[in-house]
Amino acid sequence: MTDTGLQVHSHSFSAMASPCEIKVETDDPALAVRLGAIGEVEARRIEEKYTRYKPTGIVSRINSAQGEPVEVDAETAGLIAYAAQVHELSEGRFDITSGVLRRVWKFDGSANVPSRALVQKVLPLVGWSKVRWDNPVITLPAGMEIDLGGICKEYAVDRAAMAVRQAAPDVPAMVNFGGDLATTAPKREGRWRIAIESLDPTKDTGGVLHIAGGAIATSGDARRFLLKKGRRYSHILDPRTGYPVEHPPRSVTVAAKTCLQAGTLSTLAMLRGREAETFLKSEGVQSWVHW
Amino acid sequence: MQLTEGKVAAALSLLAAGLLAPMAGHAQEASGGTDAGVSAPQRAPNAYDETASEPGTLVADSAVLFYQEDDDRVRAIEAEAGLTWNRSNGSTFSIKGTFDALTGATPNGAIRSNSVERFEPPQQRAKAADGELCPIDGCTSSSGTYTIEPGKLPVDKTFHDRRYAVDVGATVPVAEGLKLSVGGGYSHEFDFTSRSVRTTLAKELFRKNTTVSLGFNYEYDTIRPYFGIPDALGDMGSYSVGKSRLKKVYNVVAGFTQVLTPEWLVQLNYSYGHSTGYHTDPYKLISLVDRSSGDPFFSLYERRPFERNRHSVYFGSKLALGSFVTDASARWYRDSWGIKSVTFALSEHVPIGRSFYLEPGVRWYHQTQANFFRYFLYLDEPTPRMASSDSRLSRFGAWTLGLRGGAKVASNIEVYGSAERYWQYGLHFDRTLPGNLATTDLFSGSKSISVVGGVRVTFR
Amino acid sequence: MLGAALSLGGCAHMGAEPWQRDVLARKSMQLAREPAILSFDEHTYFSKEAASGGRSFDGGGCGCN
Repeated sequence: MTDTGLQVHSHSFSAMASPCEIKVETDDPALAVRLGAIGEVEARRIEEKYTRYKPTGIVSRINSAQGEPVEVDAETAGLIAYAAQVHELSEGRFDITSGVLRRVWKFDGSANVPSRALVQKVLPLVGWSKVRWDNPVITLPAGMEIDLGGICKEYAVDRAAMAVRQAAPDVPAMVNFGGDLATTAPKREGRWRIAIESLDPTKDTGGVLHIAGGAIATSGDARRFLLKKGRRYSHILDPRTGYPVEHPPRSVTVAAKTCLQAGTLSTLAMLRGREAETFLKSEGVQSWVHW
Repeated sequence: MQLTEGKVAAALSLLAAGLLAPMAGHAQEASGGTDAGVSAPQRAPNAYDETASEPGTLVADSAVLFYQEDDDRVRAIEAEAGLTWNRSNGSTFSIKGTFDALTGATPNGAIRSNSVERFEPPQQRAKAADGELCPIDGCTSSSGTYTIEPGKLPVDKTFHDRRYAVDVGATVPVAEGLKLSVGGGYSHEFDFTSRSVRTTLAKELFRKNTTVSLGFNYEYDTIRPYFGIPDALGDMGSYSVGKSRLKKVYNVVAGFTQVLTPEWLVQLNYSYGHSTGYHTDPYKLISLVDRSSGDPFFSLYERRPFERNRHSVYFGSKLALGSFVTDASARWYRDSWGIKSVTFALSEHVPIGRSFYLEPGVRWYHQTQANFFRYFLYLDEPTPRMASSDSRLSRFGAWTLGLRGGAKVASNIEVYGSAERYWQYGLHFDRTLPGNLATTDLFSGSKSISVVGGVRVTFR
Repeated sequence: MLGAALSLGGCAHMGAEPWQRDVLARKSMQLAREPAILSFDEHTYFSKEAASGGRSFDGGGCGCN
């Protein structure tokens, strides 16, 4: 490509149900392979630790405690504390206990909107305020569940990027897990180019964003909704009402210093529905909204 | 904690940084990470030891293929008839016609579901006045609305098509040891038309022991799906966005053939193909799956890149041992979609009696998946730029076991045939997937049987 | 590779003399034996697999892929 032999090497794998990629700009292919492996190991570690689907995981241990307190490790405590603070910042819109709503809101092709009574029945099982959180001990009322899926992938991106940076501090790399990404350093030749759905590909940018560094995350509802009697029910549920958020954008992309921050902001914007763009503007963050 | 607007981002920045900063300790280090036979003129012991294609002949060749996939999927009949005129000056002219008819069911790209799934084609802005979706009896490649029972692989059951194709070719010697070939083809289906032209220059060197060749092929395709061009990555059933699309394919093949010994011939080809245009399969869907339940919720139309670059290296070898011939070949392929494949084939020509031969053969193929291949998409993930769940773009392997045979039944008549079993294998279940997905069979590859019969008549 | 093979081609011990070509001229030694079976096979593989070509041009002339 160039006289310096500098090239962008790519390591791909699949984790957290997403296509993952670690790109490294270097003239040393062996280094790229090593850094790719380091990032992958970190992604797999977090996936293994926080999956809801393995009975051995910490999340299932908390969810199956039947009202008993569970003491968690430092990393998990950090994530839960983060989620608790975001819950407060979002005035209850962001809630890691909202997963049980999925028991009644089944997006399984049946197009069945649950009855009001059914929603009211599960609503008592939703709400972070009902959880007792004395860091590092969490006590969930029986029947309630937490799900860290909403922040785990972005967290994994940041952690993998950190691991790569630690191994090779000055080597530019980009960690991209299913569209949520973080860079470790500015590229030496040109900028990191990222294709974003929210950008109009017919414009002269070609839907491609050029960034020097930082992180980007996207939340999407896309075209996904339940349609009943002409009314669209989005896939994003408001834990305060138990009902879908009305008129959310198709997707929200946010650029920030860390992927976790970008991902949380884009999720919060989705939860604002029609107000998503206003919210992002008032926050003064760099964002792209696709309606 | 009551915060004024504008502070959420700042607070999050601190929180996220706080969460990530003290935990560098969690990071784990990756652990590294036969000698030339004397040829006295003698009568050949077997008909297939006779010299091939003599100048001054007219050869008529026709054959029929019966193709059937397991589970009542695609069934096809393909018939081919051709005439080749070998002139005594070394030039040849050929014309070939092909007809094929396909019926049966083909996977539509959606995943199996625990409930009844309903599928529909793109809507067209203006429907035919009589409301009939298929006004001609031939119908089109794909169908209207249909439903699939729980647990069954979603297939488009009314898949049928007919193809008519004609191909002409000529090879002329332009100088000593230098041959020029030109040709062209035209192929027509209800929803697809292809035209192609080609030319190859071949030069024989070193007492005809080496042949080098360079060929170029250009193909121009028109795709006209019956229900129009679907809105790529748009909802199933949404309005079509056009009537037809184009695709152009450029292909260069550099060939090298070498006689190693009087009984051993090897061939090495490098091929580069570049195509631009509509690569999307207009009849393929991709399921949107709810991450919580693991159930498919809805389907989108697939979308593939506008461009594809393909590279392949082919190596072939023919080695005679007495009247037996061992044919071995290998092919390595990769393309700009991220697919890499290898193919190995081995067959043995076995002469039987004076005028008969059998040729058992085996072929193994393996490919990796395209970088935009997904078995499904999640409902809550941002739609990727490209996505296809076509099993032909997935990671899989395939075996072929076959038996060919032929017999010279009169001085100028040969009959030949083959029977083959082809089966693909690949990932069925991914236990790490959420909910019902973990027990959903993701595999949609095929198994098939092909039987061919043909006859060739040579006029002098 | 081509260069190496070409130089080998010029080597006196390689190849076949014109009077040794009877085996190479046999029907059973032709590179494209039974072209009809070959084209049916390639058509089937083209419609079932992502890779194509190699032996000759990789076009397909059909809407099956």
